[in-house]
Amino acid sequence: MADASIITLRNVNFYYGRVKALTDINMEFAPNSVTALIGPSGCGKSTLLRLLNRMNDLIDGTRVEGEILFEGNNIYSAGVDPVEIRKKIGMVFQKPNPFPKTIYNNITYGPKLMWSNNKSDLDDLVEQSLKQAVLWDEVKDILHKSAMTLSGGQQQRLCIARALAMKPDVLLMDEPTSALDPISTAKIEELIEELKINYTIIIVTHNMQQAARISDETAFFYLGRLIEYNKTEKIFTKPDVAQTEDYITGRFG
Amino acid sequence: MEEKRHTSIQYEKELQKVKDSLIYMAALVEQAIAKDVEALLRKDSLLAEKVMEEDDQIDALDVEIEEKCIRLLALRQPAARDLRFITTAIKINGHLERIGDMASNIAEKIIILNEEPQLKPYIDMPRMAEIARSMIRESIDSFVREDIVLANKVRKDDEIIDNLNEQIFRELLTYMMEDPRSIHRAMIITQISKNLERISDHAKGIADMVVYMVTGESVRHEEPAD
Repeated sequence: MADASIITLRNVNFYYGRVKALTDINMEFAPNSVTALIGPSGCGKSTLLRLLNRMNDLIDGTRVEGEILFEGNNIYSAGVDPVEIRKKIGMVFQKPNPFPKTIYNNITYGPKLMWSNNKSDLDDLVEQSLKQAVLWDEVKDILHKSAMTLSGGQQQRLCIARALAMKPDVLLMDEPTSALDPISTAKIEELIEELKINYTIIIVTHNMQQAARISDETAFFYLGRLIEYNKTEKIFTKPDVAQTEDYITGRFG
Repeated sequence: MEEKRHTSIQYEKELQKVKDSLIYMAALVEQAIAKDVEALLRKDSLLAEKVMEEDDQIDALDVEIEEKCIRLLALRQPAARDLRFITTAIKINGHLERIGDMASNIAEKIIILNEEPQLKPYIDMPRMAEIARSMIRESIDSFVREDIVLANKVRKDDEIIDNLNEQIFRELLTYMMEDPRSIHRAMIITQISKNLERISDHAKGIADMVVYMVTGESVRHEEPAD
């Protein structure tokens, strides 16, 4: 996995002020795979996810040690533009957060700032992104209606389409289905399976069955440490570390 | 293995119930084999009939345990050791149910055998039955204690039974060649012996599953290591 990894963490420590949230994390993420980050609340999994596209920069008093390499380059090196990083490494959040704009403008907002104002280019991009997010058929006739009129599940797929419109390589997802009903959840999970062909996906989830269903690799965190990082099938049938087994079978705390 | 408890006490209890039912079921099938031997040695056909009747109880347990396991799979979505435990329990349940059927088959043969004069002293068959019983007991002990050393002993003991079965068959062959009138009785004894040999295969099957449950490795089609 060493040469092929798209993101590599080397001896990463992370602090919120004086509180150490992550300790000595070493990880490699393989391209075109789905990795699930699991662990109890406060274990550091969301913190780690946010580190990967420098979202923690936005919080005062945080500090990163170690290296986080994206395609071989440290994203925390001086002179690296976090906006460029976030373009390459998109993010989808727990609650759907569409802009209070039309469906069309939700998709084109970023690309317009970044690249182009050409209408036919933008039209193509909207269609392509919505198709990738399996939302196109449901919204193609209402592109100029407000995104706020969509259901929660549709809004979340719109947010995924919006992230895809920036043509990222990696998609970070922070509990993307925790606010959705089972049908919408199934659609997003289905979508993740398809997206993995073109993207690398890293997902934080509290839903163990979801991790089991959709991910290739699973990483279990506890108290800011990476306890076990293994094939998902292994984690859910015979994990190597007793602590992992205790957690996924509900023998914790 | 150090046993940490589930956060859900109810879940813990449900798993424990499956275990308890299997221990009870194993005790019943073991008793059935002991009664078979007694019925043979004492020519007690009534006792043999009782073994056949009591198989209904084993069958009922089979259904009950399977339902409990399916319920756990559906409602608790078990993972890791719980998943291995429940899949193992389902398989053990199947093995015990088959052992019950075989004990009942043996009882049926004993009733026929008891109608006729005894062909030869019964020495190897009770010995075989005794080993088969202890294999069942030890396989279930290894399941309860998650003890792969004991499970591997059971897996090896299967060979002793295989050898005894062959030895009985060879011996009966000489009886049959000497006196064709012995063929009917000899055939029935062969069938009993074959049933005991199958019982030991099932005990080995239980032990194989225990190894899987503890280690996650499948050894069902592998020879036990020395």
